[in-house]
Amino acid sequence: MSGPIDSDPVSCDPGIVFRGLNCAVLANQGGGGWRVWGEPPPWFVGIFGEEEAPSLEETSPFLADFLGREMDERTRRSGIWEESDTEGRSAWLEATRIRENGMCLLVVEDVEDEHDRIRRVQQHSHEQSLARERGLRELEAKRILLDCIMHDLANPASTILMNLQHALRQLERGAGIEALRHPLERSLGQVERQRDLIREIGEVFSADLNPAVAGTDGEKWIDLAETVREAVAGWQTRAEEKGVRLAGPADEGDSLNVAGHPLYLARVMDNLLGNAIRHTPAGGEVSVAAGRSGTRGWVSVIDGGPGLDLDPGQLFRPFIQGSHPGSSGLGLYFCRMTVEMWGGKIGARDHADGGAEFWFEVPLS
Amino acid sequence: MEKKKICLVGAFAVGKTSLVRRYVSGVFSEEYLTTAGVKIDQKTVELEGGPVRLLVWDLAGSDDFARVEKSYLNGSSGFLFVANGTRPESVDVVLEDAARILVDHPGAVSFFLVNKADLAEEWALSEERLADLERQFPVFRTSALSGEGVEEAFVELARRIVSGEA
Repeated sequence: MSGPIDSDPVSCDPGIVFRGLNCAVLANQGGGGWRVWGEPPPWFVGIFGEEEAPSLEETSPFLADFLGREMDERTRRSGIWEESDTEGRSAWLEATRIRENGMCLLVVEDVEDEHDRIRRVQQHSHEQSLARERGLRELEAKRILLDCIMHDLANPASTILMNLQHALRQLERGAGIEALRHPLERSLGQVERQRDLIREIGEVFSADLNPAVAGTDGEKWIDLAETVREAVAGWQTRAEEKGVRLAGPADEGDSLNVAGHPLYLARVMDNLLGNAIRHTPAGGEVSVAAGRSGTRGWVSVIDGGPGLDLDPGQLFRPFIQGSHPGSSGLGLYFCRMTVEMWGGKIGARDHADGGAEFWFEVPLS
Repeated sequence: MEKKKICLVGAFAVGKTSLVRRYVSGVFSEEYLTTAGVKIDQKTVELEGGPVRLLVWDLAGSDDFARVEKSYLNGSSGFLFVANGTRPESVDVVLEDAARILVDHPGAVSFFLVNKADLAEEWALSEERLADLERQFPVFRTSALSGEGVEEAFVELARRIVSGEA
């Protein structure tokens, strides 16, 4: 409780009240000037100076704007704004203009506590909204992914069914074994496609939904350059079958040690090399390089194809196949998930000399 | 020196404050701190006709409970309508704000900034949506993180305000 009043409050200096309220009160003198009434708080002096008639509009563009507006009502509040004092310390202020009995007053308050309270509430509300937006987007992405999986698994099943029905009809007509070759081969091709798709979905989801699998479990020191050379050697036969020259990085070179999962890194290389060979016509070349840039190791695969037919950002999303059939559309998505899991980046661009370049970089250990 | 007031308008958490900090101070912080109230920064732009002092009003972002306070926009010569490319909802919000604001400020120069260009591969805006925005505004792809497009947007806005180009 406060103590007894020992003087007449009616005759009390209003400056005492203003100090108690931690606000500065200024009276309009006409001609646009404002004079401080009583002793202003230290924070006000720090911002607007010690003059009895501080140049508010010069110091504060916000107050210049607020005071420059026409005012029809008796009181108007400015809303909260930030000002800095001469030493760079910021303060959150709010001003109120009062017009009463021919007088025009301006009350400037330090509302830092009020500002902090509002900001905390808004911050919490905005973070909740962002989390909700993220959740809805992830849900939508999962729904699309599921639709794509259903679609891509159902298509081969229909083809297999048609071919087996055709084979059965051939048997019923008494056709020879040779007549069954084509429908069975087509069925086999579709079964292989389904198997590959199921394997890729398994890999993608284990990397996407369980980062530990692709992240740290089973993580080893890998020589990036050596892995690239091994992958290039592994794809030489396929490239030769297609008439494509596959040029790998030099055998001798610095080792590029990274921490990662050897099988996943090999799978990334398989995806990039498989795509590059598929997009390169016979007689063309796929060129592979690896190296060091500062604290990161990089790999580049340049194909001899027509270049990118999709926006590079879209290529690494699930079920993006471009104009080239024969892939599940999950390979590059898997590469992105894996490389990013290790703190790296992956991208694609049209190469200056033609073809497309796919690259990734990962931190060196 | 001539002074021109410009306002950044957009939904919460699209990067308005980060864009101002990048432009005025050349810095960026990953931390998200929502803006409550108004903060005004100043920066001088050197143009062919001489220097211009930009008063950059960073306003609290629109959310479900509050839209931009109209009185703060009085006297503004230009607007930067800001959206986050990874959040399509933020485009809807700022377009609603822009439609209301431009009724009251038909002569103001207005640009549309699609922020977070460093996350372009995560943008959730179709090419059609971007093309539609480009039919309504000059569009800048910006990144407060990398600085991409930031200086260009502010300086071009100042240049058009001074030259009177729409």
